[in-house]
Amino acid sequence: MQLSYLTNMMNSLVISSYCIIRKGIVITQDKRLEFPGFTNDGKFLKEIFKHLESSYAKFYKMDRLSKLAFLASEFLLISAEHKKYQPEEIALVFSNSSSSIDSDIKHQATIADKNKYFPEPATFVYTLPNIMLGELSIRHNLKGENMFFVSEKFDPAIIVDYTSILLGSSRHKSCVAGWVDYTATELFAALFFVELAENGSALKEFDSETLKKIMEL
Amino acid sequence: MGTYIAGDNIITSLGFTTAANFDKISSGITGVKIVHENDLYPEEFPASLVDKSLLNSEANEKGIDKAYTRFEQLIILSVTDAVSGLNIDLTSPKTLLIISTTKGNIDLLKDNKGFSDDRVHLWKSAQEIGHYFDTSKMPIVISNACVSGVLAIIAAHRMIAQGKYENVVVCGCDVLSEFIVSGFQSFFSLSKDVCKPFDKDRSGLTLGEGAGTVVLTSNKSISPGPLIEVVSGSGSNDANHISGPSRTGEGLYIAINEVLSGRSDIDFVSAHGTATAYNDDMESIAFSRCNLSHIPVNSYKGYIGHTLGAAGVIESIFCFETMRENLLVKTYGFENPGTSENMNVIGQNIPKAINKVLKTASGFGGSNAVILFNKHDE
Repeated sequence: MQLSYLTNMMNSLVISSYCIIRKGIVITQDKRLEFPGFTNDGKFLKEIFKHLESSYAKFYKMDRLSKLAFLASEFLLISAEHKKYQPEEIALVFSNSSSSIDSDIKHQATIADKNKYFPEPATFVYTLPNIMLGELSIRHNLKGENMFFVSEKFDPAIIVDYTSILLGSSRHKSCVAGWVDYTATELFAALFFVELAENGSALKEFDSETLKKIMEL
Repeated sequence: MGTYIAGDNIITSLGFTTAANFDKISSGITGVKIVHENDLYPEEFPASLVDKSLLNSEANEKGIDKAYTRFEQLIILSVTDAVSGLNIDLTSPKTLLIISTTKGNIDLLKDNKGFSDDRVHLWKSAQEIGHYFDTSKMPIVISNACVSGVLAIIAAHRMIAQGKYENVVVCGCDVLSEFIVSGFQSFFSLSKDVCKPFDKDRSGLTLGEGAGTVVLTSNKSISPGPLIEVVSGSGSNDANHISGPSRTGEGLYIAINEVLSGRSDIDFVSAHGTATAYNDDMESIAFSRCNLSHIPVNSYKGYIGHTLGAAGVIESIFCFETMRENLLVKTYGFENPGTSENMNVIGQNIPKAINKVLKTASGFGGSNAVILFNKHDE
């Protein structure tokens, strides 16, 4: 009994920071920013970027899905909690509903007309949802395992289960996990920085119920 | 708890079963042809395409020709064949279906062919397939570029090891569309003829399409001999570039090292081997850093092209066949070495006892995935 109790304690996971980005709003564990006059044309993302006073020029090359993920990760990792880990110890477990549909539509438009047939590599490369994981990995030097799930709606159980599997191995000590979705009419990002309870600052327990509650903030 | 291979299927240009496919590749036959199909690309290009009339007649026979897209038909046919003859209940809550794909029904963006607009979404396809098989849980979709297939088998293995499922059926599938072909053409990454993995004159990749299904189980007794076990898997990001491989093979190096964890008894490496200059060089560097340069290595891309989200699954099944038949299959298209580090590229078929096989994959987004299979002596 004693032993299994100890094992459970060691494996218990905590959220040490989070970031939600919805239409016109950015929410983290300690702040709430509002950007009035929201439009879905990407202007909102640029406003958040300006607010961050970041000089990361690659931002402007990214598609809107990657931009959204990038911004959420900037807030999430602002206190640089992840730097206490080796790059290969930080995993990424992401999910969304629409894959890379925003860039998919853009790429499709470049090949719709046989007389104006100009597919762009700079667009095509973003027609994979895990490219945003690549962007975040470059930005924050994350070399852990990547996983990308697609589900109709946010499925907290699969994120919690798979993150727990990865953090249950001897290699991974932390994980950036969550949901980032971008379409012509909707956007939503919810990222969580997850650590083993023994290492983390233990803002909240990492379980399905908590994820749901935070996403409804 | 161990994870074992209970069944599998491959559908490509080379045939509709694993046996048909392996028979062709072990006879040195490629399914890549120069095709000129206006609905795929305005000019001719080499590709490995699933035979249209054969797929139509198979789909028709199953009664899935009208209500399902080509992508979904391939998955249904592949899964059905992989589980046939096995005592596996797809409707059981102890069985999970995982679909690995990069672009699914993306061709519906251009023309929805009478399907609902949301059918272009991967989750919608997965739901339709879940309904077809009456699965108790909706299939999980993994879409992580070209490492999706290997990652899906790793995920299945972990979920079984965790005790969450008894059986996990992993189907990797992608179909070629104008969307995909035009994108790769825009990168100038396509070879003018059949690709030449690891060769000094390699000039780019060749695209392919198809489906591969692996049935994984914790139940040793339903696995037909010889017993093949999933030992472990790992993934890693290069944190270097979103569309170019790392110059040091960083992510692949990390993932291989984790999987090997000190062991040196690997018989064969099935590499990603896309035949782009950078990918193959990157792999040679990562393998060298892992002291694997002397191990026989091949790429299957010259036979069936790069099948994207299906590649890791189909190529893993080719590895199972290599273990079952004790036959290393030559790298189609390879003639002269030409990677930055030396590699022991398999240039001719070699009959040899094969027990431990490493399968690797690398892809856009800087992702890498590696899995180790072990055949038990009977």
